[in-house]
Amino acid sequence: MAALERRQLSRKQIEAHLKSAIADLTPNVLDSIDLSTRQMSAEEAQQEQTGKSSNVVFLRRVRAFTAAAAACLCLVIGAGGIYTYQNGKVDSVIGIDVNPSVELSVNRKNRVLAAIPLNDDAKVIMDDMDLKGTDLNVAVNAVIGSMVTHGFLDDLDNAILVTVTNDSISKATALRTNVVNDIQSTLMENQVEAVVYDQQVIQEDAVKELADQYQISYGKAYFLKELIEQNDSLSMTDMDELSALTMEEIAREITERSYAVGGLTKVTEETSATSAEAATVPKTQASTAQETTTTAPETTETEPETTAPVTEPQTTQPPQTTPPVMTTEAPTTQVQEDVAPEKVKIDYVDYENGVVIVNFKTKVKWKNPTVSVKDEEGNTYSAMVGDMDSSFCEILVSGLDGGKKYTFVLGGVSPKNGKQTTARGTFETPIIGDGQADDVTTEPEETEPPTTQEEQETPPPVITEKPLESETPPPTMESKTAEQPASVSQEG
Amino acid sequence: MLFMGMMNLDGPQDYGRLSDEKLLLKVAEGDQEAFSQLYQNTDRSMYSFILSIVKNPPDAEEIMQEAYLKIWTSAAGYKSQGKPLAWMFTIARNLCYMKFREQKHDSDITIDDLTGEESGEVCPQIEQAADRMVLMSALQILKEEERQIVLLHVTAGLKHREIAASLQIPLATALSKYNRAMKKLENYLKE
Repeated sequence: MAALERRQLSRKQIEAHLKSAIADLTPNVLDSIDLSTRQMSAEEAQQEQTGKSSNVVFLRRVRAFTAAAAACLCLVIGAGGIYTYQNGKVDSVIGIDVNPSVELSVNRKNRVLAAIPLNDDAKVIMDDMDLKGTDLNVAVNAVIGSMVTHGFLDDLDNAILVTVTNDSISKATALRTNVVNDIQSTLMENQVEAVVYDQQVIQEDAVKELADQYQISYGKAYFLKELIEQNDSLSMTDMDELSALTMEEIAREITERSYAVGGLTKVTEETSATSAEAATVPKTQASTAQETTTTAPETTETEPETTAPVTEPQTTQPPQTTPPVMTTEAPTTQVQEDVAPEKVKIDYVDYENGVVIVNFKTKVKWKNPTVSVKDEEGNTYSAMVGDMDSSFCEILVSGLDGGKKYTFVLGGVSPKNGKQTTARGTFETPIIGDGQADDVTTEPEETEPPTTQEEQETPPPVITEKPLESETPPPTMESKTAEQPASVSQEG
Repeated sequence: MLFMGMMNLDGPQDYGRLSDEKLLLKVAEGDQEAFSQLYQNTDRSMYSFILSIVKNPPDAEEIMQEAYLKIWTSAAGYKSQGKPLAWMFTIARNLCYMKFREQKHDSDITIDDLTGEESGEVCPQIEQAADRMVLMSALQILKEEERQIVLLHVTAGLKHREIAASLQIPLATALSKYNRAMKKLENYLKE
């Protein structure tokens, strides 16, 4: 029915229906309106209307303004908050331990957010010092300078431990380098020598507990923990004793007892020694890097002229005055052995008429070559390096007796892609004649010297060779390890 | 003169001829007769307007009562601008919105929910089913302003010019919206 009606409705009909419907619906409320209600005066009504309307307008405006202001405020607070958060967030923590232990918290722009003295000595040096907001290098300079001023770094043995804590290894490495450079330059300015140990670490709860337990800085705790782990002779029971020591005393212990320094991954030690006389060049540089997991260890580089405060027990270095003839370098850590640099390998050695010809198995480079020749009793003979190229060299030697075994050590030689090293070999002179006979000999090679006494005592394998067969290619002899010198003796 | 005086004394007769504006001015002076006349002149317009907003006859009735009471008490605040109905509609609209706010506050439901589909069930006063159906359709498918224009024109008999003045919209807008609304209704009712 309704549907039928729908189809029939025109505009006029719709209007009529609507009119009818509203006419039916419209109530009569006139009688229910209480006309005894007091009417407002014109003023009151006006006041009410304007008050209300102006109130409404005002409220609307206030509401709109409030909303806009709130939005702006949110924006400003948001942007400012992000900026402040980024700049107020501690990105790295740099610990400096001498005996005073200071911790510098810096943001990502290397601005100091907090400089915290961790012990009483540190409070002394930090007194009247407000480092907040300063650049890290300025803060480091100030701290080190204050340590010098207060006598914690004097012209005697000093040791500084720098610990950089950052989750990013690359960032920590860069920061470490910067801080160490800053410290070195500050030390130089103050004409003070110091061993600088630096390490980069990550936060570990165990170390933190250790630091809290012994009331030492996180960096020192980490350093001592690594020291203990690296040296079997030490145990955690030594922590009591070690934690009470200053870094200088710890460095002395390390030197005297030949402790290995470093973590399981990579440890080197950096010694920056500058003095008034020789302030230009740090004597030794080693960096302690404890990159916990992934990074490949680096080998320690030691410059030959360094007397070096001891870092590794395995490392021995001749005094600066000694000619670099017998320079010995040993792998300093187990890790380093794994990545030992390329070695110079001697193929074979000929001796003929006062000339020792050393043939190398690997290509070599030369720089200021030196040589020394000794007999078994340790007597040194006059010798010099003659002709040389990338595959061989001549050693001109005089005064040798026949039928004896001699040892030579070549210096200033390096593998094609490697660092300078030494090569050692032995040869024998023929019994016939006065030592000038044709004759031969032997010897392999060696580049890196034996690192242990045990290895040095290993009897070298002996290969004999007939002298008359010298025209034939001499037998080659390869020692299986570079540390095991082999000799070829000739049957006369 | 006597005739003039007699004309002036003939009050009730005069109220029927007075414009809404003049009646309103008299109401402001407390003239109940004028108020009664004003009510009779405008009750359908006011109801249509209120219903077009609240879409609910009981609410519309309640608001209508409040609106007239407000007109009685606040008549002195009316500024003569030739648009008494616009002023009255403003009072009614404010009361409608106040009602919405109260109901929303009370029941925590939306205005759309409040302006829902109750009209059909509560229109026993409408005798003809077709009338009821058309009104329900209008309330259901038209927008608020369209409802106002349609109801004011059709049921209250206001001219488009008066509607435009009362709703304070351009005349062309009032016309086009009316036509569009009626087409909508026609189409809807033909389906």
